[in-house]
Amino acid sequence: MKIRSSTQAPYTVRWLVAKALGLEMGKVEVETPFLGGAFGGKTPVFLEYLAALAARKFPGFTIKLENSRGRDMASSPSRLALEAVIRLGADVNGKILAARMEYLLDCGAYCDIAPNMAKAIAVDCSGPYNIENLYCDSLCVYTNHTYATSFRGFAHESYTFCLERTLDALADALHMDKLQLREINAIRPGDFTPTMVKTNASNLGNVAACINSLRSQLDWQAGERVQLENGLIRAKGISLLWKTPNPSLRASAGAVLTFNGDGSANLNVGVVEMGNGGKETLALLAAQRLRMAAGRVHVSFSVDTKLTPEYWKTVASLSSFLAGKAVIAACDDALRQLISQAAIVLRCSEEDLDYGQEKVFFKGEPDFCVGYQDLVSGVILSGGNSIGGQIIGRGSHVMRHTGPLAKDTGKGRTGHSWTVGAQGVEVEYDPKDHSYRLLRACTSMDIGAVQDFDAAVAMIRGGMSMGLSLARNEEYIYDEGARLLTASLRNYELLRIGEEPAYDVALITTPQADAPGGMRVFSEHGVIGMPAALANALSCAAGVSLDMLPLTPESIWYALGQESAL
Amino acid sequence: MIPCNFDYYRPESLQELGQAIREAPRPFQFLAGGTEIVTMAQAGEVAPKAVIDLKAIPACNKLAMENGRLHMGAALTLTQAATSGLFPLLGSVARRISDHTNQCTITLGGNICGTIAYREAILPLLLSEARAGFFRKGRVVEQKLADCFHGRLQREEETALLYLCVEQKYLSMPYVHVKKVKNEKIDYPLLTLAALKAPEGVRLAVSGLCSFPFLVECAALADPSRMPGQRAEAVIKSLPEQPRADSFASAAWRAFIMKQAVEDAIARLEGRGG
Amino acid sequence: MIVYKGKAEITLLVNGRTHVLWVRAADVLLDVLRGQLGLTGAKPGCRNGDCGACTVVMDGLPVKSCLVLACAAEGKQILTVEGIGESPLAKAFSEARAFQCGYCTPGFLMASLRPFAK
Repeated sequence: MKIRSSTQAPYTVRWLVAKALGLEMGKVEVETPFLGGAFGGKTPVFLEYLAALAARKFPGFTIKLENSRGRDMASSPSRLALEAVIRLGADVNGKILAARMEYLLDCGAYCDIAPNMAKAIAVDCSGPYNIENLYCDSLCVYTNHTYATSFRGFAHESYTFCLERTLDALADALHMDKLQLREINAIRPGDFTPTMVKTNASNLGNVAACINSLRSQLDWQAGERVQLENGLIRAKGISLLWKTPNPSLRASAGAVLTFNGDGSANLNVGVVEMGNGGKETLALLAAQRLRMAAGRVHVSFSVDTKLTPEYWKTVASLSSFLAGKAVIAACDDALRQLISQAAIVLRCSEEDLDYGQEKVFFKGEPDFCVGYQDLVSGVILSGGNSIGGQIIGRGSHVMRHTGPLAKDTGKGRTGHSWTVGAQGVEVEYDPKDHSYRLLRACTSMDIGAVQDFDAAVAMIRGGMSMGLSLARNEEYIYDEGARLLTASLRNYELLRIGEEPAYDVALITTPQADAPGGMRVFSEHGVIGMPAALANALSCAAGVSLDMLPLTPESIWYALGQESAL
Repeated sequence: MIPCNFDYYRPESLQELGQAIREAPRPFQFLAGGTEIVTMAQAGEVAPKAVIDLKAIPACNKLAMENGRLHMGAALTLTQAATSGLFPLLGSVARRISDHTNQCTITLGGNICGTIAYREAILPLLLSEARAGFFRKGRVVEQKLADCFHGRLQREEETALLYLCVEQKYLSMPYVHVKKVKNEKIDYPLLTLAALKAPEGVRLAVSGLCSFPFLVECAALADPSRMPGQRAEAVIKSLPEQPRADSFASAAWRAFIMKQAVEDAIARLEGRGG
Repeated sequence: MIVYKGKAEITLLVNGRTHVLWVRAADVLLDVLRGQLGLTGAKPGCRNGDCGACTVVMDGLPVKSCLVLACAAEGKQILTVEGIGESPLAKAFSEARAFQCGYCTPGFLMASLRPFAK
């Protein structure tokens, strides 16, 4: 059974289709060409089952199954909906002493990976804050809505909205500056996370530095809210963010490095490229490790489960870490072989050798060397005999120290590190018709060492744009019969060019000690705090608590009306 | 892709149009920009046996002042109508229909005759007492638009809309155009309001508020002795039906923004400050 | 008068080259560009005229190729993203990393082209 699928998880497709159809796994081959967009929505196995059933019924025929946009919106899994009740208790100085939270995930008609999202919320439910007494229930609820799957942020953008709205409400109750409230409670190295993982500078990053950076990005000191002469109101809202990944306990990565006759290398790894530069990042990592020029490590964009070692799935922003570790291991394996082969050619011991610029050379005598191109396919000795063989580097990695959460306390470690940040939005609001403009959106994020500054900023900005669109415009609307009314881009509303704010991204660079290149994962994170920051800005502008998304003029008018009716 | 097959006719004169209408297999559809027909055919909602493309007929593409009237072919795109500058109110309305790219394809005729209920391009034409030219049974026939437009354009089977014309005096009257949407700029209107200050008083036409576009008929509207707010109230009471409620907005919100928009429009047209 | 009964041989001018193609009268330009000419830059996003991922330029103006009949595009100068690869606009998008997954970036480029054409 050969399957060609637009999926972020070709190996999961192979496993689940084989299991569902009772086929041997080795007889199912899944190919993912250059993917295009995904953002989490192509993680579930869905159409593949149907196509495989049809293909089995009609052997020899190619079955193609393609959803129209409307059918895709209505029946392919989408984003989740979330409701929460959050209670925070703080002392008069603003230190949060206790929290009790209940999150209800509307996961739709099937559960897919929603339970994992519920777990992810619980694991990070405190936000990047140190809350010593914490109780959280995070529940998936079946409903008759389109079922939910991961989306950029993996439910973090949803729960962060709930938590950060509550924090603003707490700041109001305390008559305290909203940024200062975050600062007082920010989690610091040595503090514990909700599931009792002890943080340190390497696995956490620097929340305080992000807050300070945001303070200046937003001109926070200039004031949170100002009424202009023309009656319009400008207001700012903030949110912190953090996220640790929640990979499967069996998540693993493998990588294979082969070489070409000219000494250049081919990197074979099962990460799916979906526009986030995942494959380029890995090729650059390999080039750095092998001390080769960037363009000399070639990587193919398509993935074929028969030819490429398994990579868990391309989700959770985890590729640079999980696959990166495997890639580095494969490079080190190749280097060992290169040096061992070179030691024979150069008739010395391996300890005497160093490498760089596609050569292995005698330490201190760089001209006494042998080039990669003369090693990678075996070596021809002066007598004409060939020795050694092809250099083939292999490496793999599994997540260390992760495990299930304890049933009674929730204690446990699900991911290797957190990425933290601070975000803010400034709006200009018209109190007459409740419309508003987005003026600016800011993010300060600790991404560890930076491999490509422009790419990182662009990735974060894209996430910010998606988060603003979610909060400002997007919703699935059902009628009384639970029929979806918005299964079309005609009435499913999105943020457009011309409605975007000015974006400002600052990068904090606390290295993560165990990460390849010291880089933290951050691909999806730009989205996480934006809905919260926008809602906080508009709640401040309109003078009413806006606790539901999306934030439309009608919803603001309605909230004001509800409040004045009370 | 469009799952059905059809024949395609592209006449280059009114005589050839008559020939195409005689020869084309039934049912056939007239095509100008084609955006609606192609969309609906791809979705399987229509399956014509033929399409007759009007874009090559000179009478459908004319844009000129003639004998004191602005003559606009039905196959002119919204972009062409807007960039001509000849009818600023129509240009303003055209620039907010769908998005810029679609405005380069959507035609005046297509917007008015299509099945989508908003038909925003009709508003300036209703306000300016436009006349419409049709091709009916081989002949060109002209009618007042108001006589054949009641929420939608009423025309006989196999009759094509060829052109619209507007008397020159309307082109320079002071106007207001505002489009209110749910939140996203490119959207169907919760309310598109077009207003003209005619010598006899303010005239208003509205789309999106109810299930069809209409000219406001309310005596109080043109009465300068009453405050804009009162006149807005009177307009709300004169609506042909209740404001609609749908996934874009509730009826109450539509009524709220309608009242504000009417009040604003009157104030602006009569120079009564903010 | 042009009459195409079901199928026809039409001539399209795309990126400066002339192509003679056999199409159905009901074929949509997007599918002809992608399927017959291998120009897969324009993408199907919604087939409804909403998203713009299929945008190409026709006689200097942006149009949604999912809404244009191929035979209605005869005689027009059609420009797709493949025809502007080395343009300053394409280079600017690339240098500024102005995309996320990149699926609809060709649409953005073609929709942005006209203001820059002068």
